[in-house]
Amino acid sequence: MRAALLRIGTLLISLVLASVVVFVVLRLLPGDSAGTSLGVGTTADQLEQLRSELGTDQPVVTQYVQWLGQVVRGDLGTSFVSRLPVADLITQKLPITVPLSLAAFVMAALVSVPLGVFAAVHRRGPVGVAVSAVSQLGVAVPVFWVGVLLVLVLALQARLLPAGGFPRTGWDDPAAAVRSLVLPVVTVAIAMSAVMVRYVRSATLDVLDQDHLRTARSLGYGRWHALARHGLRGAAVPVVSILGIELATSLLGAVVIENVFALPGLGTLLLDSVKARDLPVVQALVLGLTAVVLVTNALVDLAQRAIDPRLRLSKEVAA
Amino acid sequence: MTDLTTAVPAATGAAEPRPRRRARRLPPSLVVGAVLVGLVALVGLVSLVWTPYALDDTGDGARLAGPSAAHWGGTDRLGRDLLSQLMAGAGNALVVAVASMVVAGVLGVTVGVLAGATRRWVDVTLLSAVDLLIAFPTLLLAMLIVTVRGASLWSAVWAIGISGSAVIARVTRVNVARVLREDYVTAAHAAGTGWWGTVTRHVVPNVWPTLLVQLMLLGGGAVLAEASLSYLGLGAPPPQASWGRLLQEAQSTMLVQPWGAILPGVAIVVTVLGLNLLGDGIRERTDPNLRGDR
Amino acid sequence: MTALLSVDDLRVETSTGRTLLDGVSWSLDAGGRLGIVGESGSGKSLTALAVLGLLPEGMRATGRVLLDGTDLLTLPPRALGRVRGAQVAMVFQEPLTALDPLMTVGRQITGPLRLHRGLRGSAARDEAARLARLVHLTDTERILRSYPWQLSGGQRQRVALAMALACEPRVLLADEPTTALDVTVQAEVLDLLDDLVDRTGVALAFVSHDLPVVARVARDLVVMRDGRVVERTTVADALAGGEAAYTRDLVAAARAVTGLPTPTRTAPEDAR
Repeated sequence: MRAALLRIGTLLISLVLASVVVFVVLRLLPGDSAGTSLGVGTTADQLEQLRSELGTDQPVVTQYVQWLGQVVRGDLGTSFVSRLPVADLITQKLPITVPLSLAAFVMAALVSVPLGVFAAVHRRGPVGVAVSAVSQLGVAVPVFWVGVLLVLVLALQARLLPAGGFPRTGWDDPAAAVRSLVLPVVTVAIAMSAVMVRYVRSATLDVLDQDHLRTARSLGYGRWHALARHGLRGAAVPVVSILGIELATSLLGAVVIENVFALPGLGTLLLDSVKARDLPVVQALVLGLTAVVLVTNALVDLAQRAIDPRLRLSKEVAA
Repeated sequence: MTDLTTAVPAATGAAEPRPRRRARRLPPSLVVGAVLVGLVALVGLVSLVWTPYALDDTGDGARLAGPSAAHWGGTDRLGRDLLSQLMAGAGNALVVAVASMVVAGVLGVTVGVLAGATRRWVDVTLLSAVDLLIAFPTLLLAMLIVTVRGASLWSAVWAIGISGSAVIARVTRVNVARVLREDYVTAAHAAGTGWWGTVTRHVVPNVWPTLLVQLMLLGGGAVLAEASLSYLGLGAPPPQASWGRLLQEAQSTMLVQPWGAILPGVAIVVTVLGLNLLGDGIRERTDPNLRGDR
Repeated sequence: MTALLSVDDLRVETSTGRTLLDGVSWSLDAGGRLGIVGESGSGKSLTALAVLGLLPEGMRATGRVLLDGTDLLTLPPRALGRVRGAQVAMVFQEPLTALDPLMTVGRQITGPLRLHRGLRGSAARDEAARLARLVHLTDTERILRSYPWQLSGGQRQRVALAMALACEPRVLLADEPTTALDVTVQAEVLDLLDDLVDRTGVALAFVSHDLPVVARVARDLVVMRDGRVVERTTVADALAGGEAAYTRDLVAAARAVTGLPTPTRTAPEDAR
């Protein structure tokens, strides 16, 4: 319990640090964001107005504290480009990005965990060899290329699924919405599976090498029974950590892949904002995505502590 | 009978019945990786002085043509030779990989050695910074930097290099700290070897193979990341050829000329696969504890 | 008298065709105490693993391993599973890694009880506590709730013994069970092992590189080298001067280092 609170404490500190980094990078690196965001032909008045709107005429620390205060209250500022509240912009996009990344994550996990375990147990068998070869190749494949190839074959040539876009009606027409998300989900899932299978396989191999598995077999447990009783728990520790990393990856994969499939989600919003130098939107999105990653990491740590008594008990002794 | 100690049958000078047969052969992944990387590097270097057509040469006007004797990779929607673009892309990928490795290597090793070989509070401070950096996705860091500095090759390199330095720093720190705890280092220290002497004589030779492996993997990651960024339009701007952008440009016309969307992807896969295999191969070659079947 | 367990012309080869064990034969009577001694790499541990069919992947055993006339090498996996733990059990060298770090000691001991004897719930827990007392563990309640890494080396090996003896096997293979322990603890565990063999009547095959240790618990002796049996004798005869030159070297070396018991000590029971 105490360790869990401690972990939540460090999570909060990391979140604050991340917000400092995002803030500092965007404000202090060379290039006045106010000037660049308005472009050429800006009058001094406009610039001045924007600066006071941004608060860039105030000391940096004051700016930061004000901004953080607003963020905590849920006020993410106003977009330079659309003049809409950033919070609203983000909320609009969530119904595309969240289902996309979660579905891809679940699909990848469902494929890679069993496949990785099987490939490790039969490491010299045809499946084991094929899995390690394909995944070695798979980690070298860029996710957007997978998307492009799937579009080429399944959408443009076979005409099975839409090549991109999202129905204007959104989730009011669930069938159309799902159809437009199938290829993006499969794309992200394929790219993630290549990485996950490798980790699951190597975590399982480590477990298979362990003496206590041999002990279990010497007591009469069969190969799979021993693995289920003693191995999976041990393999779960590294696997949980890779699942955590991959949950974050699926979100970032979604950011890239939305651009392949012209899906109006968070990724497209982020990219458009980066190109337009729409500072408030970039700031909010980067901080938000980073926060998701940091929270996931903290959850992974807590989950590992729950699985492995060594982490749980030794930390508590130390605390 | 509590004075029993291990009995050593010293009288027999018998050879170990199971001698460790160290493979004289190079690991296959090392060979394949080196060949692939060497190929890409060669093409990239050649592209600096010669490509079949100039990059902006729209030629005889055959647009979106398939592969032919004149244009081995076909042409794009402006009639430019795809093979020339791909070759120039190899040069670009090479620059990104090497520059990112340098940035990550210099930054990461410095931080890692400082953390592993100096005072405890330095270690703790640097490690928390490194942990935060590891959690911070490369893509997002790149987007932050691009927002401020604009899209360019160097924005991408800085983002990838800084991101990658976190892993290098952690690996360096772990290994430096481990080596410094070894008995022979303590012995060297007792014999009067100074801090710098210890680092150069004992730490560096022990750490560099691991670092080299990490740098190769980082290079592969850098090529992938740069391809993603330039695909998104955040990498090198148009006159510079980049595989990611070639792919993006070819996407809208790929039903007519699929090669434009396929070949750059193949080039990326070959390069990244080569660097990954090279990393694995170096690890197998230098790590005596690693079994070959991983 | 037919042997309880007999290993007959056992050969082990790697998939690359290297021979690791070459024609190993020995036998163990009911209630017998066999020591298998040899340097590291002589194949003595491999022999024990081959008996239970637990060779590392890529190794293949030929020959015969007869338990009461049944050849374990040709037994189908399911039937072999019923032999392991129930008829023939094994204790390994490193008790820390041989036990699952993520499972309490109690659950690890009740595992085979449930598997072979169908005991569950409080019956299994009571039996686990009895086994813990059998191997001279004190404060059994606390120990059964602990994880292996919370125990001392000696406690861990006692736990491993309790697991191995849980289903009253007829043969106990002990593979260097005291090598990883401190010298004082080593002596305690050897005494315990000696005592357990007396009380339960389990036949013991004790594998070690350490002749003085073997001499404390074993009566018969197999000396191995380079994957072959050099000599089959008794501990007493070996100490009195074995027939094979290699055995004499072993004895001389051990005596030079440790002061091995004098040849007059024949019965290992006296060692206590």
